[in-house]
Amino acid sequence: MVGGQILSVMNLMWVIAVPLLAALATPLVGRVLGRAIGWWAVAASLVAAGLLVSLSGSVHSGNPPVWSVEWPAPDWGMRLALYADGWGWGFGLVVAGIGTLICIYAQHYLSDAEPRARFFMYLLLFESAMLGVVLSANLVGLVIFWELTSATSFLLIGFWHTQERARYGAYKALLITGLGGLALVAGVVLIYLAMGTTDIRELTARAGEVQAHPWFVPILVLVLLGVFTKSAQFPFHFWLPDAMTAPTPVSAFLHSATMVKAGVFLLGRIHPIFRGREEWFWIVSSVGMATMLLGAYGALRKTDLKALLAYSTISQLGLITLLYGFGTQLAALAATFHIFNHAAFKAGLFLTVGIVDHETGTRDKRVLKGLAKLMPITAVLCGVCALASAGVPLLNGFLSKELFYEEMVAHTGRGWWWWWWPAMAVGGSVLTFVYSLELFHGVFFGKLDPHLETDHGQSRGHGQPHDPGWGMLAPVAILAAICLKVGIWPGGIERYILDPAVAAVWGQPVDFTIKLWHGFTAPLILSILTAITGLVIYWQRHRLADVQTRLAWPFGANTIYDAALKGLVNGTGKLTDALQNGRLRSYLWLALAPVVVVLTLILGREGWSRIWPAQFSPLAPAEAVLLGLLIVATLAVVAVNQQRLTAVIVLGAVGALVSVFYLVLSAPDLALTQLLIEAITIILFLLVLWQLPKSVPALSTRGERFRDALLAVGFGVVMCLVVLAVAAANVPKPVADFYEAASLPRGGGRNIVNVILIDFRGFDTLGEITVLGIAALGALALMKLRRRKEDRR
Amino acid sequence: MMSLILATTARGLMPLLLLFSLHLLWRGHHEPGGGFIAGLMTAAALVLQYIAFNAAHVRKCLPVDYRVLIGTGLACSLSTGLMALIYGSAFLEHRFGHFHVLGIGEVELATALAFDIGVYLTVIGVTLLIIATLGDESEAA
Repeated sequence: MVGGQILSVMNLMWVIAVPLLAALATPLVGRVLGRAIGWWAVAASLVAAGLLVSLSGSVHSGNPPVWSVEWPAPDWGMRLALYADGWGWGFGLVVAGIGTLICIYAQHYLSDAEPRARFFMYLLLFESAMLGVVLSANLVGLVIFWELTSATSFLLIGFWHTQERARYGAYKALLITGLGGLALVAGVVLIYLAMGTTDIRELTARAGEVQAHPWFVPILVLVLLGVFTKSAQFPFHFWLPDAMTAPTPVSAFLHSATMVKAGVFLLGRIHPIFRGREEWFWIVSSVGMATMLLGAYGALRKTDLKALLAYSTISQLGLITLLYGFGTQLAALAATFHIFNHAAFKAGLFLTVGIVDHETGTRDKRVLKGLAKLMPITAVLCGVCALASAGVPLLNGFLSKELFYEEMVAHTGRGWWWWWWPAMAVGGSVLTFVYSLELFHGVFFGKLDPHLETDHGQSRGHGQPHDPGWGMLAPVAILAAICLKVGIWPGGIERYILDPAVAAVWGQPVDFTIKLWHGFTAPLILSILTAITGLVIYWQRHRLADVQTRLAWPFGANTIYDAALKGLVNGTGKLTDALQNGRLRSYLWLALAPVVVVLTLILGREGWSRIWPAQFSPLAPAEAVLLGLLIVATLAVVAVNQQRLTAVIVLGAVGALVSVFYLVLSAPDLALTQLLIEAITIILFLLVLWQLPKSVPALSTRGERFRDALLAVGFGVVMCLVVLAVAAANVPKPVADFYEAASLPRGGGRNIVNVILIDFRGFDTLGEITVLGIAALGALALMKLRRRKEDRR
Repeated sequence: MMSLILATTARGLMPLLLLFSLHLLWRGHHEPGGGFIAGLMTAAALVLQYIAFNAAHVRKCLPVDYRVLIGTGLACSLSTGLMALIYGSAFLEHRFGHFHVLGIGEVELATALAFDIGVYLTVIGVTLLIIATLGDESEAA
């Protein structure tokens, strides 16, 4: 018994580890398997799904398996912990299941010219990250996997990276979801500060405390920013349509079970913690409502079928978000049910659009007509998925749409203005009905474009379009079968997944039955109304298109995004140009002026008494002479600085005098070093001067010179005061005493300077010589680079 | 343009300078000197050869890639630090001991010296890499 439990707990870890390890091994396995590498990914996904199924017993018994390790930082409440409650487990099953189908499809979809191994490696990494999101028991782990889905989806969306559009789309997806991810991180940090834990189960148990906390609203807003950016909610919806530049199997995965679904998954995850507060309802439901309408409306404007589907996903996710916002038991059931239904029919739709694209070389709905004659099987499968999306009876979409209507109508008793919700719900559903018909009826019926029939697939090159092989049809067929099965006999598969999932999202077990027929009720009337209105609008769709063209609004979220990005790039470019302008004098200003200001402030605070030493040691005659010479030499440098060569030599003299000074102060090591450095520096100077004009051209105006002189004098005075202040500082126990005493017994050397350098502070020295080495290589690179540039010219 | 006097002097001084720099390196633990100073001294001696003769001559006499020299020096210093870990001490903790060598007498050997040799090699490499590259530039100009 105990052994069995340990085994199932380990299985939980393997659910994530298997796709991850398989992904890492893909490049090597790919060499052996060649173009069959897709089957490797299929196997990995299937194993992950199988492992989840093996956990079903403990999930259904309400005793979710937990696996955790004391890593990476248990002291800070950060440990990698996984658990499979009904929500995470059910979602994981969908991820791994659809992942398997996607891999089968992609194996047949990709042409031989594509870098297959790389594709499947990215896909498996993505899948593993998504499984990590749904199985995390801890918000920190969830956030890490969350960011990993952003990173891996970037690789997938930009898979065809030679295309400008793909790069743009990938970059946009990463920026938007990445920014939301940062907000989420901030939200999690706030939760940790407020509650002292990031454990999801504990937070759920202490939901009342979270809601009563004064930081509740900031926490809510930050977490929701993460959710809304990820699941493409208004006003962050605009990245999703550009993400369709990904290969179609990726889009199908991204829209149905992963990435955007991670957003609504998290919404369901935090639902038992946050639901019930007014802020939760208003923010979540309003955003969901706006997104649902905007997405459905936008879908009708698109002529590219994939763009149409992208907007339809935005709309469907809006519906789910809206429902979670209501925070009632029925709403939670409807939303959770719809997530699973949407996953099935949306994956099916994307895959059929992929087939159409593959066969005809186009995705333009204005060209694609009457394809049913050429591709009957595809037409049937698309029909099932599209009608499920439209919410037609006997299909799964109908059932969750009914629940949706039921929830919307349930609140109308609160006052007449609550009719707003069912009204908008019907509005959104009507538009959904119309675009679903466009996908099915529009593409597969009507008069076949003769051009399409004879077109020898300019882009794909396999003659007249026809139904593809089983490898591309089977995954769609399975999804369509699920839509039918759930739609006609609800109570089997979906009880297996839905029961525990709803219990987890609601927070306690929920008693419900989903029935196909539940009398002539308000939801049914609304469904009939939706269908009739939808049919009428579809029939008159050319008029709708006219209206939409007239209403077209040139100013959208995309415009703001592009302008903001351009502004950011230009702004930082200008800032860099201003700071790194290539003029040594302005660098000196930037470096020295702040030093002068800061040091003056600090010295001013300390006061004169702390700066001026109480007593000075007497000046020996030899020291006085040296000092005098030093001052004269320094003045000479200033006087001759127009003549570079002379200036360098005089500067050398100053250095030599300083080293004599060290000798007088009995610091032979310093003196020796200084002298050698002087010698080598002069040679360096000469080598550089070789390339410069003999005298310094007068570049500055009188005003500039005055200004520079002011800085020079200011810096000199401040440094002088700092030296005095250091001498005046009354250090209680000079560290020099320690070094003097410890040098021989503990370092084994009588030369204190050397023992400090290589023993007591050896780590510093190691760092310094490393910096020296890097600097030398940098100098080498700079000079060689310049040489190459000149050669090219 | 080669000056005969400078060339002769440089040739004669070379071994002396190198020996002296090695002496500075060795005695650094007790008397003024050490890896940094010795490295600068060696670099200066070699720069003198660059001035007295030309780059091609120095490269012929000293066929060493200065980049490799930097790497060797850093590796030397780093590995003495890592050696301490093997003995269970902290990173960069040095040891020293006194040994009796026949004919010479009491000699102190410290792991710090190995570290200092690393510093020595790195300083030579860095100085000469920069000067030689700049020198190439001026010769080409």
